[in-house]
Parts: sequence; C-alpha cells; structure tokens
Amino acid sequence: MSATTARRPALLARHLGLLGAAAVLALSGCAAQSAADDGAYTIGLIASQTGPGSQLGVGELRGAQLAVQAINRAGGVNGKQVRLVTADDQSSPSQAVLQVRKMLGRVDAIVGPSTSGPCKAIAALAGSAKVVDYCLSPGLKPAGYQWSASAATKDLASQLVAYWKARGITRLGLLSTTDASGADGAESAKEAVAEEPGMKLVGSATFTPDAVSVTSQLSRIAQARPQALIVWATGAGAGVAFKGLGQVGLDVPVATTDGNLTYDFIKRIKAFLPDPLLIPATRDFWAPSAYSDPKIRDLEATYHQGYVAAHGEQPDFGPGVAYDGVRLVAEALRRSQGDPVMARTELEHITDFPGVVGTYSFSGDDHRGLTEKDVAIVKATTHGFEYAGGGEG
Amino acid sequence: MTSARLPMPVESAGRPTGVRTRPARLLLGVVGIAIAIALPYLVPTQMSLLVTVGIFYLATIGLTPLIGQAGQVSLGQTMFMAIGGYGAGFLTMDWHWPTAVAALVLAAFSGLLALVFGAGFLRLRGYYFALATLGLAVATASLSTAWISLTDGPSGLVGIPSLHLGSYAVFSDQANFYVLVVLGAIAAWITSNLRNSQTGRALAAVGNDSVAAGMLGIRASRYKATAFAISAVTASLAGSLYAFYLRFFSPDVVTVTVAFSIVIMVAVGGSRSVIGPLIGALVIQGLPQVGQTFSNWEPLVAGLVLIAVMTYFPAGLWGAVRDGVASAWRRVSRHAVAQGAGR
Amino acid sequence: MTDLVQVVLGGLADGCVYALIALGMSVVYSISRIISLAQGGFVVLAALSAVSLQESLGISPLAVVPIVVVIFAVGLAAVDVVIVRPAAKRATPDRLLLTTVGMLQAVGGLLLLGWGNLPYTMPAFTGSDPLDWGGVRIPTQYFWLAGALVVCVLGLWLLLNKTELGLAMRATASNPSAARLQGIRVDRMRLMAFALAGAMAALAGATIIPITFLQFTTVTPYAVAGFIAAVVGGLGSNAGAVVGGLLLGLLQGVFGRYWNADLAQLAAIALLVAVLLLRPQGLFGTPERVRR
Repeated sequence: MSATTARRPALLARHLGLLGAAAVLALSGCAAQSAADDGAYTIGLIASQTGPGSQLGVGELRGAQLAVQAINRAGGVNGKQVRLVTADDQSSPSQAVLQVRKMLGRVDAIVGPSTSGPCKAIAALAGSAKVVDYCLSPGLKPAGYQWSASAATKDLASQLVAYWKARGITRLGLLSTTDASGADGAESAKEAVAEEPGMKLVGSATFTPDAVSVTSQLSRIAQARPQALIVWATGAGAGVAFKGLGQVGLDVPVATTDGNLTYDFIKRIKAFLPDPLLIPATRDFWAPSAYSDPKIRDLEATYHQGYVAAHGEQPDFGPGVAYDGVRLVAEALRRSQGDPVMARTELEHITDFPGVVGTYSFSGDDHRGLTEKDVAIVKATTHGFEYAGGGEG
Repeated sequence: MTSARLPMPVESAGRPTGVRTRPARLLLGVVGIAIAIALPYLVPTQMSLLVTVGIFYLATIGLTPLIGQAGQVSLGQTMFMAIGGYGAGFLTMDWHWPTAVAALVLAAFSGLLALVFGAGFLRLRGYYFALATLGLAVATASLSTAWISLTDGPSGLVGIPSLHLGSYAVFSDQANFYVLVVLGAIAAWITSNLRNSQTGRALAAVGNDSVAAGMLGIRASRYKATAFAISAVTASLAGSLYAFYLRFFSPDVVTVTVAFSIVIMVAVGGSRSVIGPLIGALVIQGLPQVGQTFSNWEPLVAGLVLIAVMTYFPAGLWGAVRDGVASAWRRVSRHAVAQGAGR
Repeated sequence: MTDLVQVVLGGLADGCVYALIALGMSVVYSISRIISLAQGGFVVLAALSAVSLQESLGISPLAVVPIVVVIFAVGLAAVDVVIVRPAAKRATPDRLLLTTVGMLQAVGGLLLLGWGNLPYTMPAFTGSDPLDWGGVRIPTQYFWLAGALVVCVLGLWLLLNKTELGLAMRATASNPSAARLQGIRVDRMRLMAFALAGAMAALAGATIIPITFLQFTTVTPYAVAGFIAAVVGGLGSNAGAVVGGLLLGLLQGVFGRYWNADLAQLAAIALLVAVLLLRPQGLFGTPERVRR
C-alpha cells in the first residue's frame, strides 16, 4: 500500500471532524433557540446557581420567579405578560459577560448577576447595549445603565459603627478577604470608622477566601485588644474566621456582611456562632413590629407568606433583592411602554416605591435608591435572625 | 525512569508530508474557513460559545508543538494570558495605545519572556518542567489579585476598549469570531508547518529521546524554547482578545483551574493535529452549556473524560478518530488487495 | 513574643497537613514515578466523608478516624487498580501527571455533587477549649495533628525498614526493573503505595477539619500546597516531604501575619522555582537525573 492512499482516510477524517463540529454546534443552536416573540416583556435574570455565589443565587432565582408570578397574576404589565429568561454565571465574571452577550437583543432588561465581581464585569456591556441592568449585589457604585440592589456597603458599615458606638464600644478590629466583596467591605468599614468621632480601628488583616486557617491574622488583631470585630467575608471564609476566634481566644461581639444573611450559612456555623453575631440588614429581615407603615406590613406579609408557601422556608438575602429587582424593572418597562432604552430614564424617575427590602427613590445620580435609614442591625441566632437595633423602625 | 518509552505511541513522530498533499491541505483549509464563515449564520444563538472556543483554541493551538512534538507539558499558559489581558488593559487605558498594537507588542513581549523562563526551566527533565510551569500559574493567580495598581485587584480591570482595526470597532460577537477565525487559521497554519518542518522533526526527535537527539547534533533546549515561545505568543494574543471581547479582565480568568483546563483541552482533543485542540476547546467549553442541571456534573465529567482519554486514547479524541478511520481504511483496502490477488 | 509563638504554631498546624499530603505524594512517587496531584483532593474528600459519617452515625469524631482511614486505604487501592494501572500500562509519567489532574478535577466534581457548594466542619476530637500556656493558646486539635504526622512518619519508617514488604518497596523504588527481575511484583507495590497514600490522606483530612472549614473549592489550594511541599523537599524523599510541608505552613503563617496572604503564596512559588533551578532534586532528594 502506498503512502498516499494511507493518508487519504486521514484527510477524510479531517473533513468529517469539521463537519461534525459544525453539526454539534448547529444542533445545540437549535435546542437553545429562543421562544417566538409574542410581545411579552422579557426580563433576563443572571443568578449564580453554581459556585460560591450560589448561596445567594439560588434564592434569587426563586424570588424573581415569585415576583414574576405575582405580576402576571395581577394582569401583567400594560396587559402583557412578563417572561423570565434565566442564566447561571457560575459565580464567575467572565461567564457573566458571556451570558449577558447571549441575552442582548433578546431581553428588555437584565436583573443580576449575584455578586459584585460579575456585576462590575458586565457594566460596560450593558452600557454599550443600552440595556438596564439591576445588579443584585450591593457591592458596587452603580452608574450609567447599571443599578445596584440593597443598601450600600458604606451604609451597612456606618449603621454597624453607630450601633456599637451607642453601646460604648469604640475599639474595633477588622478582618476581611482579599476578594472583591471583602476589599469593598474593608474600605467601607475603614471610612465609616474614620467618620465617626471617638471610634478607632485598632487592628486589621486580610486573608484569601479559600484559606484553611486564619489564626495568624486573628492573633495579630487580638494583640490590639479590640472590643468588637468586623469579619467581612462570606461562606467558608467567614466560617474559618469564626472558628479561629476560639483558637486565639478572641471573645468579643462579631459583625459580618449581609452576604451571610442566609439560613444555610447560619446552619453551617451554628456550633461556633459568635455571641453575638451581628449583621446589618434591610427591612425584610426585621421583625414585623419594626414596620411602622401598614402598607409595608402588607407587602412584607404577602412576600414572606408567598415564599414560605412555595418553598417551605423563610426567604433570606437573595429572594428579597431579586423580588424587588424584578418589580422595579417591570415598573420601569411599564412606564416606558416596553422601550428598553427609555426604561433607564423611567427607572431614574421612580421615587417612593415600596419594596420588601426598602423604599426606593432613584435619581440620575442615585441608582441604588436606599439609604442608611433602610438598614438595621439583626442578630443571627441558631433559629433565625432577630432585630437588634437601628433603622427607622 | 521510563524515558525509553515513546511519549506518543501513536503515529511516528514528524512523519514527512509529501508535496502531493499540499493542494489537499489547501483545499481543506479553504473548506474549514468556509464553514467558519458560515457558522454565525448556522448557529446565531451560540455566538458567545463560539467566541470563547475561538479564544481557547488560540491559547491551545500554540501549545501543540510543545506538548505534541517536544513532549513537554506547560501548565503556565495563564501567565501569558494574564500578560496579554492585563497588559492590553493597561496599555490601552493608561497609555492610550491602539488596541491592535498593544496586543502585538504584548505577544512579542510574552514570547521573549518565555525564552527567558525557558532557558532555565527547559533544562529540567520531564515533568519537572510541568511542575515549574504550574508554579508560574500559581504565581499568576496570586499576582493578579495582589498587584492592585496594575490589575485593580480581585474585582478586575473594568472598561477595557473593544479591539479596533483602523476605525472599525470589533464589538459584536460575529466580528470577534471572524477576527479569531483569521488568527486561529494563521496559528494553525504556522504550527502545522512547524510540525512538518525540520524544526518539527527535530522537536519530535527531542521528545522521543533527547539524548539520542543530542548525539545527532540537535540542540534540545533551543528547539523547546522556540516551542515554548510560540505557546506564549498565542496565549498572550488569546488573553488580549479575551480582554477586548469581555471588555474586562479579572483574576478568575487566569486561575490555576483555568491553567489546568487549557492543558486538558489539548490532551482531550489531541496535541498532534490542528483540529485536536478545536475539539478539546469545544468539549470543555461546551460541556457547561449543555444545561443548567448539568453544570454541577461538569467538573466530574470533565475529569473522567480526561482520565479516559489519557488512558485509552493517548493521541486525544481527534487522534483516536483519525487512527480509527485510518485503520478501517487500511483493512478495507487490504481486503480489496487480497481479493484482487485471489482473482 | 507570644504572638510570634502563636503564629508559628498555627503555621506548623497547617504545615502538618501539607506534610501529610506531600508524604502521600512522595510514597506514590518513589514506587511509581507518578506525581499524584490528586492527593490534596483526596484529603478534602476524606475530610467531608468523615463529617458525613460522624453526623450520620452519631459517633465521636475520634471514632470516625479509623473508619475513614480504612475506607480511603481500600478506596485508593481501588483507584490504583481501576484508573492508574490501565493508564500506567500505556502512558509515560508526564501523561500520568495529566491523569492525576483529571483525578483531581473528578474529586472536586464529586465533592460538588455529593456535598454541594457549602463549607463543612466537625467537632474537635477532645474538648473545644484551647490550652493556655503563658498567653499562647493551643487548640488541643494541634496535638492530634502533630500526632497524626508522627504516627505516619514512624509507621512508614518501620514499614520500609523493618519488614519484608518494606524491603520489596524500597527495592522497587530504587530500581523497578531490577526489582521485577528479582521476582517482586511491582504492580502490587504500587497498589500498596496508593493504599498508604489513601490512609495518610484520610488521617490528614479527618484531623484537620475540626479546626477549619473545607468545601469543594479547597481541593486546588491543598493540591498546590502539597505539590510545592513535595517538590521543595525533594520528590521521593519522605524526610523532605515532612520538612517541605512544615516549612511551607510556617512560611504562609508568618507571611500572612506580617505581610499579606498573596505575598505568602508568591514567596512559596519563588522558593519552589529557586529550588527547581538551583537544586532540582529538592532539599532532601537524592541527586537523580532531573536535568538534561
């Protein structure tokens, strides 16, 4: 057999390979073909269903679905149904960008992603495509076409500092992760302490989110004898830090980020729950008695009961922000008659909009709409969250 | 050590390719490019997947001479991607360089840096080189969060411009894809020529038995350094284009896991052809897209696929297909010859 | 001063785990020339298995240890038969490195599927209150960690130097083909090596988890730390693995305390690269042909 004939099958196989690759793509393309345009308003939801962000993202998906059901049951928006297109960013900024690129042109507005890294990553894209993005993470400074959910990290930190100051605690320690949300939290905490006369940050340290041990950082902080400690870390990182407290013998009140306002997290750490563990939280976590306005009491009741009925558990951080996000975006689309670009202007004009997280008043400069007044301090206990003080309550 | 064993049991290394097949290869290239041009119209909803596959194809194809010919596994591709990505952000935003110039200069810089590192690392035997490059990947991951003045730390570099060719902004998925097709085709052409050139055969000889190659007067480390530099150039370009496409670059793009997955793409697809890395990139990037529920299974499946491929198809999936077709063809033609003889 | 002692102790505690990972890698390497990057993954898998066993059986954390040790010794022997043996028949060590990367990936995937994306921990073996020695606070679990390392080192030494099996293993390590000619079944030696590595991974995982939280993402940091410790100490050298692991833990602790965490990782890599270039056989390795 000559060399040339032996090579032919290889060439044939190369052709087949290219065709095969094309066929695989074509098939997957068909499968992912979007539903026909029926005039419904389409909201794209990007929430982390996998990866570290899924602690929040799973609840966000449920909250968004609850809001869409409620809107559609009440007759939709401008007589049209609202449809939710969902995607998982796997807690990764680059995946978030890819998912947004996939959504552009198919959705009228975007809600999500879940965490600040992915939110920052898609900001430029949302701006270029002129699509409103209601990001579900509090950890960014929203502008352009981007909004940011819940209270600003700075407001959380200020409320916390004020809470402690009112109780005679002035010397604080700070431990934060080196990831985006930890860096943001640390910066805000430092600012908040600097702005409050008499308060002092006596020691601070950082650690990587996947660290197995933070005892060396903690003992450095313990050296400075703080009266209270802020741990700005989520998930495993916060768990490792709380566990380390006992190992270095630091027995002081501890506060952490609202990213840990999840029942799953509290369940994980219940054996070494610092006493007390304080978390600055928006009003969906306060006791009903803290709401002065009966309209808001109704709103909270509908939301909490609806969620418990659907999932058999109380909603935590994720569902609330997504619930409000979908309702806010739908309201903007209602006012803009479904025009995605105009929705931005309309969203900026929404004021005194009651949500479950807080009462929103946006403006051209304020794409968050909540203030320090929407934040109170709750205490995490093994059976849930208890109102501890602060807020306008 | 079992250095006597051939690293590539299938296909004798550096098989000379006859002049006769050159038109065929040209035809094949034309067909491939025609398919690539048609793809955005065939699968308009999968464009972001296609672009990602294109970017990782660029990062993997440059690795094939090093892995496939020289038998050296580099886990350090993320370092060069980081140089290309963060560098592109820095040069275009802080120094206002044109995007294309920045990408090219960074690619050249990465190539030179690879020569420097290669001079040290490539003297190491076998997988000690892989371990040293794994060190580079770990250092890259740490630096990308720690060197805040350059990388903006963990939250990443925001607002990187799109690629501009003259006054045309390459923004849409389709435009990005076509740019990648052109670059991918050039990289494929260069590596496939290299494979069939004297350098390629020298590399293969080095990969098979460096001592014997040394006796033949082949300077192992020089050829390997060239291959390492090529991998760095394409990885840097891939990083720059990724940054221009995402308009963003962050530590999560260049984690150790990504470094592993680039090598997994090459290994799964096969490191000795132009198409292997394409299959690998498609499989590894496409798997998570299969479905929401599937994405939890993806790491396990990817791991098992790599184990199975390494064990049973050492030439990669594409190599296995090619060998399968080739041996079937041989059997058929032998059968035909036998029948002819019997008549 | 007490602060420095505290930091050093914390670093050494982490170092014990890195040392146990590196020791497992070293045993496997010396018998088979395979660098098993998956070893760090098995530690996390063992740790989470221990947590689940402890919770479902309701027994004391200490009682779980022998159970996971046996399970993982048998489990890794099975991994050797099912995955490594077929792969080793066909592939060179650098291909096998990729096989172990696949194993690491698969272990991470298994953890994600079985335990989800949540951090886990377990109560300490004995008492949760740390001892207080002149201001230095020592969690009792530190003693268990040190004990685990000592048991492994002593046990391994006794096995290798005082038993027939150990002699056969050492013979295989120094020259596999000569050992084969002597009638030693090299495959069986590798099976033993993997079983030993499994037992050590289980011991490390079950002992470290009471002082930390682990989840599927912890797989890569452990794999990387174990590999740095093993290479710096000298692949195949058991003493080197122990020293490398403890040194790495100490380095991370001290850097984490006085500078920052990322710098610790960079310093470790700088050490790794320096060792590879200047003394590629590692601090304790026998000068093998690591350079061309």
